Amino acid sequence: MADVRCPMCGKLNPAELEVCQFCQARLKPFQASSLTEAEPPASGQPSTSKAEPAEDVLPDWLQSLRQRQESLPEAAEPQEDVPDWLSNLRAPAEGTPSAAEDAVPDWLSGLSGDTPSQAEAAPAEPEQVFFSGEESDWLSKISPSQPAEPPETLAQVTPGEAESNLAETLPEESPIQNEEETPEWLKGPAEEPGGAAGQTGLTDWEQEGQLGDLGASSETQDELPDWMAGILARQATGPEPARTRPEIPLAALGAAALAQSAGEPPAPVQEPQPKGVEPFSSKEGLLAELGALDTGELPAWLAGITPLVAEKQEPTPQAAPVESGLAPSDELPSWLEAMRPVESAAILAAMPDLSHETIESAGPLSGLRGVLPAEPGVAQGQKPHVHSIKLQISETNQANALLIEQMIKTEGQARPIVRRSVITTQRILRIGIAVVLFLAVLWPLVTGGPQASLPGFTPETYAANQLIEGLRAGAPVLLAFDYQPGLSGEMDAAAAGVIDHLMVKGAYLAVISTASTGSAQAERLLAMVNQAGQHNFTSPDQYTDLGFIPGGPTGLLSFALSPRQVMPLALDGKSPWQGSPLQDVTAVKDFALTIVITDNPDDARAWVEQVGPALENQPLTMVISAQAEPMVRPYVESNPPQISGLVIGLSGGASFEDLNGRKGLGQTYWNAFSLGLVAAVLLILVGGLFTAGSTVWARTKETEGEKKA
Amino acid sequence: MNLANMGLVDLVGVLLGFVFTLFIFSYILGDNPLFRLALYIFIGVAAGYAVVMAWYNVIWPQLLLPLVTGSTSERLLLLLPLLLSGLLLMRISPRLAGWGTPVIAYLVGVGVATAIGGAVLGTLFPQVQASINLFDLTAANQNGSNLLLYVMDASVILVATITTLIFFHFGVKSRSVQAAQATSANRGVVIESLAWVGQIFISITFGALFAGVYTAALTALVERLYSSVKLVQFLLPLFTPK
Amino acid sequence: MKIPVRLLLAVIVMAIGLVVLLGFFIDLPVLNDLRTVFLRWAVILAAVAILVGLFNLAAVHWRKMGSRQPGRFYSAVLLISMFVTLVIGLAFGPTSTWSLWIFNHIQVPVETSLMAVLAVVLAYASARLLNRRINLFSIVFLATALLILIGTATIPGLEVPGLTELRAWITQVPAAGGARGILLGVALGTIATGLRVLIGSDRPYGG
Repeated sequence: MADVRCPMCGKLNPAELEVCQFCQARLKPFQASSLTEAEPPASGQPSTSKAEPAEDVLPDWLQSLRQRQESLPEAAEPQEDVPDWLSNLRAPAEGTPSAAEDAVPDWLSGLSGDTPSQAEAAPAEPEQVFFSGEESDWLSKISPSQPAEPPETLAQVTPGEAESNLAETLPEESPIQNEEETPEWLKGPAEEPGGAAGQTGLTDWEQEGQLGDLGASSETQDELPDWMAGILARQATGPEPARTRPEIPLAALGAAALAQSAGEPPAPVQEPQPKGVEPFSSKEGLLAELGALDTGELPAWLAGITPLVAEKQEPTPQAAPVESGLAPSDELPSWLEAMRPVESAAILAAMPDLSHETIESAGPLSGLRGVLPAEPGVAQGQKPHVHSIKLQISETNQANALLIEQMIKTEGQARPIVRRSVITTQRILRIGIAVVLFLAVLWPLVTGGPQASLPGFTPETYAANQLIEGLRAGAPVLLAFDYQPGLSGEMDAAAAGVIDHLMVKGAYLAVISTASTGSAQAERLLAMVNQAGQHNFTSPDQYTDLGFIPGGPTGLLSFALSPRQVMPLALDGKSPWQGSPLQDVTAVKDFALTIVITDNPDDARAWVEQVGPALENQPLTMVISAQAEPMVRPYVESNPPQISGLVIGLSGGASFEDLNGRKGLGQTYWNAFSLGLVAAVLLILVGGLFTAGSTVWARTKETEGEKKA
Repeated sequence: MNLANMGLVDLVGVLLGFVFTLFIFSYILGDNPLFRLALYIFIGVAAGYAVVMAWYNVIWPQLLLPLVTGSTSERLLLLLPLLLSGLLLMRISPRLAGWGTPVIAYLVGVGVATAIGGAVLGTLFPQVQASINLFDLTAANQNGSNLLLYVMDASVILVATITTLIFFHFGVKSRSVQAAQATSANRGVVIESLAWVGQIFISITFGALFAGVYTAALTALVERLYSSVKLVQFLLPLFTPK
Repeated sequence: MKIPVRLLLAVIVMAIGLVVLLGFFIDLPVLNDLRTVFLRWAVILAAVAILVGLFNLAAVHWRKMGSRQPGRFYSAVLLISMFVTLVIGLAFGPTSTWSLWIFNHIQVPVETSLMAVLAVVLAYASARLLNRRINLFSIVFLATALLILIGTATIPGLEVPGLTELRAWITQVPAAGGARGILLGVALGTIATGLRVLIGSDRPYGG
C-alpha cells in the first residue's frame, strides 16, 4: 500500500498508520467504527486497529450529540438494532418539543417545514453536534418511518451517545421514503444513482445512494444549505483523488455546522449539488459510510466539503492572501465566506506579490505560495556550478613568469666578460704613492743623500745598554729569536747592535725560539753581525742553538720550569748542558740576562707572563718592533718594572749603536728610513686633507641640494 | 752581506731573492700570476721548514730517540705521549678524526690553565700594582723628575686606564640599551661619558700602534730596496763596458 | 653513546687544567712534578700537531691539483716547494747550508717584500681614511699616528723643537695608559674564558 504523506509535517508514513510517526498528527479522519471500538493510541505509536477514539479527541459535534442523548429521555421505541442516537432523534419528533428549538438555525428549520416550532427549538448548547436525542426535521425526512424531526434535535445528541448508539440508532428502513420531504442537500447524489455509484472511490453507503435520496428532490435541494449542496454536487462528480483531497477532520466540519446553527445563514453553494447520494438511510449504510472513513476515503457528503485547490483560483492583485488556506470564494459556503476576514486596502496594498514564489505541492499548505520549504535547500537536488578548468593567471603572474623564463634562457648563454680597465683612479693613486715612497727611500740609498741626525736614545734603551755592558765575559745569556722573517728587515736592524754588543762583551749566547723559523733567523743574524763586527763567534764555543719550543706559552712555561728537560739537545745534536758555561744552568733564572727579540706583542706578553716570574730578580730585556711598543710599554713602566730594558725598532737600534759607537744596520738604514718616513707623512697629510675637504664639500652640496629641494 | 765574497750559489740565491722581490712588488700594479707564484712557493717552503724544525727539535730528540736509547723509566714515561701522538695523527683522516679529540682536549686544558695563570700572575696583579704605584713620589725623586709633571702624567695614565676599561663594557651597556631597559638615566650618563673618554684614549693607542706598524713596514721597504740597490750596484759593473 | 664521550672530554680538560693551574699558586713537589710532566707532553703533542697541519695542507692542495679547478698549477707549485724543503731539511738539517739557502733567498725575501708592499698600501689607506668617515675618533687616530711618525723621523736640516718630546710623551703617557687598560681587559677576558672552558661551559675541542 502506498505511503501516506502527513498533512502537518509533510513526511511519508506507512498507510496503515493513523497518526504520523513524526509529529503525531492524524493521518486518517475519525470513523464510526473507530469511534466505537477505538482505544486511545499510545504516545508515538500508530494506531493499528480500529480503536475507539477517546472521548476527548472526539469531534465537538459528536460530543454534543452524546450530551444531548444523555440529557433527553429515552426513546419510546427502544430498538436494539437501531442506534440510540437515531432513536433519540425519533423521540423528540413525537411531540416532545425541546427548549432548544428556539436556537435552531434557519437553514435547519427550513428543512423541516411541518415543525417550525421544532425548528426554532434550537439546542440550548450551540456547540452540540448535529445528532440529538430528538429527531430533527431533516432527519425525520431522512427516515421514512420517522416523522420529521426538528433540526435542533440534531445537536442534542452527545457524541458519546452517538458513538455507542450509532449502530443502533440507524433506522433499519430507509429513512427517506418521501423524496419530497428529503432535504435538498441530502438528495443530490440519489438522482443519479448510477452515476454516483459507478464512480470509483465511493464508500458503501454512498454507493447505496442513501444520501442521494436525501438530496434528490428539487424541493429539498432548494432548501439545502449551500455548503451541503456543494458536497452533494461533488459527490456526483466522484470523490477526489486521495492525494489532492485534504483530510478534513470532523471537528472542522462540526464547527462549520455549529457556526451555521448559531445563526449565520449558510452561504449558497455555487456548485451543483451532488446527486445520487443519500443520507443515512439505514444502519448498515451509515456504518458503511463511517467505516469508510477509517480507510482514509472521505464519504461523499464529506468529500464535498473539500476546499478547492489553489490552482483553480486565480489570485487578483488585491486578492486575499492564500495563506488563509480556505477554498476559493466561489466554492466556499456563504456562511463560511462571511467568516472571511475583511482586509483593508492598506493591508492588501502592502501584501507582497508572491507570484514569483514557488507553489507548495505537498502537505496541508499545498497550493500556497512563498511557503518555507519543508525540505532544506541542501536536500534539494541542484545542478552543480560549472567551473572553468583553465588556469586563472593575473597580469602580475604573467610578468613574473616571463621574467623567470628569460632568466632561465640566459642562464645557459655565454655572456661576454666585461674586462676591467687596467688603469683606474685608485690604481693610479696607489702607483703614485709607491713611486714617491720608492724615490724617497732610494735617493739616500743611491746617492748617500742628506744625512739625517740619529735619534736620541731613550731611558729604556740606555738601560738595556747598561745591562749588557755589565755582563762578564762568558756569562750565559738567553737569547730568544721570536720574530717572523717578514719583520727581519726591522728586527735585524734593531737587534744587530745588541748582538754586536753581546759579542763584544764575550757573553755566551744560548739561542732559543718559539717560532719555527727562529733558529734560521738566529743563524742568519749571528752570521751577519759576526761578519759586520768581525767577530769570531762559532757554535758551540761562543753560542749554542737550543732549538725550537712549540706550544707558545705552554712551551715557554715548560722551558721556564725545566729547561734541560724540555731542550735536552741542541740543533747540532749535542747536549749543551754538559760543558761550560751552561753546566751551571738548571733554571732560567740562572742565565745572567734574558733578551727576547720579538715583533709580536703577544709573544712579548707570553714571555713576561710565563718566564718573567721564573726569572725572579734576573732582568728581562727586549728588542721589539715599533708596532709592539704601545702594548709592551706598560710592562716597562710598571713598578717594579717587568721589563728592564727595551730597544724599539730601527730608531732604538740606531740609538743603541750610537751609544756603543759602532755602526750597524740601524745607522745604515736610518737616512733612507727617515726620508721615507717624512715622505709618507706628507702623503698621508696631503691625501687626508684633500679627501677630507672633498668629503666635506660634497656633503655641503648635498645639504644645499636637499634644502633647495 | 758581502756580495764580493759570495759564492756562485749565494749569488744565484741573491738573484733569486731579487726576482721574488720584484714579483711581490708587482702587486702594487695589481694581482698577477707572478705575485701568486712567489706567494705559493713561499707558503710551501714555510710549511716544510716548520715540519723540519718540529721533527728535528721535538719529535725526534724528545719522543722517538728516548724510546730507543732511553732508560726503562724514560720509555715507560713516553708511552703515553706516544699513544697520544698516534691518536692525534688520526686527525688527518676525516673518518678517524674523532679519536684525536681527547688529545685536543688535553692540549686545550693545558693551554687554558697556562693562560689563566699567566694572566693572573703576569699581567693582572703587576699592572694593577703598577696603577696603584703611579703616584709613588719616591720613584719620581729617584729619577729626578718634576713632581708636578710626574703627578700629571700619572693622573693621565690612571684616567686612561680606567676609562679604557669602562669602554670595554664589562657589564655596562650603551645608553640607548639602558634607556630601553628603563634604567636610571643619571648613572647611564656618567658611565657613557667615561666610556667616551676611554674611547679617546683607545684611539690614541691605536694611532700609536698604526704608526708602529707603518714604521716596521717602511723599514722592511728600506731593507728590500737597500738589498736591491746593493745587488744592482754589484751587478752593474759586470754589464757596463769599461 | 655520545654522553660518556663528552663527559670524558670534560673530565680530561678539568683534571689536566686543574693540575697545571694549581701549580701556579701552590708549591708542592708532587704537584710541580706532575705539572712538569703534563707540560712536556703538551710540547711534544704541539709538535705533532704541526705535522698534522702539514698533512692537511698537503691533502687539500693534492685534491685541488687532481681536480679541474682553476689554480691547480699553484697547488702543484706549493706541493713541490714543500716537498723539496722537507727533503733538504730532513736530509741536511734545519740549519744546514742548503736549508739556510732556501730560507735566506726564498722565504725571507718574499716575506720581507710582502711587508714592504704594506708600506705603500697603508699609506694609501690612511690617505683615504677621512674620505670614509670624519669624526673625532678618526681624527684623533690619524693625528696621533702622524705625530708619532713625524716624531720618529729626523728631518735633515730641520729641527722642530719639542717634536721628539711630544712623541715620547704620547707613547709613554696616554698611549701607555690606554694600552694598560687594554691589557687588563685582555687579562680579565682570558681568565673568564679560561674558567668557562675549565668548568665545561665552553667546549672548543668539540664534543
